[in-house]
Amino acid sequence: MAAAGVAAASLFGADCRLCSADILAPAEVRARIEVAVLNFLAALASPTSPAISVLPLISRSSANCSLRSGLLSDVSSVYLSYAFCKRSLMRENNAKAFVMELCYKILGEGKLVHQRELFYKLLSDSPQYFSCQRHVNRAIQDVVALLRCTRQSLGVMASSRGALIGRLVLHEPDEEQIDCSILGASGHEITGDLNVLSKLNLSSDARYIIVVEKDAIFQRLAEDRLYNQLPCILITAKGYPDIATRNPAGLAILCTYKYGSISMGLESYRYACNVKWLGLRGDDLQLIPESAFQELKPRDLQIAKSLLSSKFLQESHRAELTLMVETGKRAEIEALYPHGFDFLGKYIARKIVQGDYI
Amino acid sequence: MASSSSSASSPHRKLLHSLVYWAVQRCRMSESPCRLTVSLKRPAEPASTSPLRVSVSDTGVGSKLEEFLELDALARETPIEKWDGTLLITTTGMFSVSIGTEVCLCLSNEADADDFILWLVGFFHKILVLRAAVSISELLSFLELDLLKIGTGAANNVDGRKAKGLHVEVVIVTARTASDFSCWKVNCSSTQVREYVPDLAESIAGLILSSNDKEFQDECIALLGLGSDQDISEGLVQSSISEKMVRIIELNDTKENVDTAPYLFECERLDEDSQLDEGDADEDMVFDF
Repeated sequence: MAAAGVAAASLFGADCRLCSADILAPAEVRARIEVAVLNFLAALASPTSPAISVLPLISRSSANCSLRSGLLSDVSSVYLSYAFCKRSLMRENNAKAFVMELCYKILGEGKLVHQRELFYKLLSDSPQYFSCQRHVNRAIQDVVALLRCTRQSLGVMASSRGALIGRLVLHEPDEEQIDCSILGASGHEITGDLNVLSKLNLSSDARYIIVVEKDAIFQRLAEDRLYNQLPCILITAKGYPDIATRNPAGLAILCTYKYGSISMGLESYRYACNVKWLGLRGDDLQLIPESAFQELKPRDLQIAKSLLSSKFLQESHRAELTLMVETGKRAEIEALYPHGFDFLGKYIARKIVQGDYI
Repeated sequence: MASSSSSASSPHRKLLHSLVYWAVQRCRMSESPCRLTVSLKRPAEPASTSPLRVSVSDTGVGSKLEEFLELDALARETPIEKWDGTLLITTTGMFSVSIGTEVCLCLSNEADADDFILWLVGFFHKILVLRAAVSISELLSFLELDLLKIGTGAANNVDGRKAKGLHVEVVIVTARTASDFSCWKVNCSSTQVREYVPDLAESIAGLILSSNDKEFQDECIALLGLGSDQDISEGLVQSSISEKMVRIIELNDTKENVDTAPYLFECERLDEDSQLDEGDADEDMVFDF
């Protein structure tokens, strides 16, 4: 963690036009919210030129982002620079004022809530302003871009969706040790609380961390105890349960792990990791029976187009994606099962041993 | 009459001199190309009592205390009928970074305002500017050219050598406006905002009253002009905020001429961020694609 801190500091020192969100204590975030409110009221009450202010938010657009590598690491991530967009405090489907008010109160009580909980609270208090989770998430990110503090500093954490299993022993301070190699197939749930995560003691003899998109595949590999054949830890985000890696959305998820995202561009540098793509890829198509292929849906093509136009996509990924779009088909990982239920484990092990990942 | 706009000791000149000086200092501090903009709006009728509206903005960094001390001293010595001593200062950026400043004020419309403008143009001919590139293209598109007065100059170092690579263009824009209800258009108030006024006011009032920081609460209450001896309830704060917002919206609605002059901090179109329609995608917005 110390090395990552120095790397981040060197990068920001070298390029002071890059923006980041600070991890702040509740009192500091509340102070920033208070400044925002005071500024707003001062403009309202100005004797000569009263105005309803708009807020300057760090612009989260592809025009305002770039890919940078830290000085001491091989990880590239998304960074945003000091370009601003102006947004009003209150807008249909983006009522930042409510989010700010709620976060102010949450922080005052020393609490931490899930994004989902925030959504339900806002839905019940102000249903005409928020009709879905996405709107709430967007408003939260706007408040992050205004106050320039991390989402968790606002008292909001991502709802926990992740699970892991494998050769890892977790030790939370003052808690029992958890041996993740002897758990049931649903694994150990990963908390969304970044504070707790940062305090974990971890010990492992794993050589590989395998990120699995689909929960069903994760469970299959967990039941087969792949980590007893290969020294590894399996992790899944379970965020998109019906998406396999052999389609554009899977690659999009990989890119998000790898570079972070523009939407959360102020925090991306903290969490990007150098993940590689193992499969399914173009070379594996011969393993898949013809009947298992599906047409690419409009949504898949939309994602593919967005990825291809992204400046971040590395050449090898671009080639794979282009092939995918040209054939117009996709296949799910389950398409390998006709070869036998243990085929998947062998497939993964072979690829790893041969270094066949990009 | 003592000091009119055309005399050397005119308060108008002193004020502009000071504001431009400090804007230039900020540009110098910035160490990168900056924009310095001076905008002047005058009423169409020469004898109008409506004020001259002046704006000096820059994209430099680093305001100094001396700037405000000097302006404060100027305010004291300036007759109130010439300048009411009020400045509207806006900075973009908050907390750690400031990337621009705009200072706006209203000056009395003197009989010899033309002379004042001429003086201002001449003033820019003589500015010594180091490492600041001044760009004026944004202003040009909005006004008829005969209202534009442009000054171009080359700045020389005091020891007589020509400064290398230095080019300064300054545009002083004068515009006529038909009506003058409110001085500045520094915000967008749309019809949407009017709908949201009660809820927005409620939200802010709720935030203020939930605070256990008495200083913050007192400051808010003072800004709203509510007496500290009054019984301050959330409803009172909410209606105070509401009233102010409604008044601003009404003022803007009744303006006959919509200002099109490009202030440095003009509100951008409130368009929806372009997002792929995620259908039933739920949780984290980490996903860009």
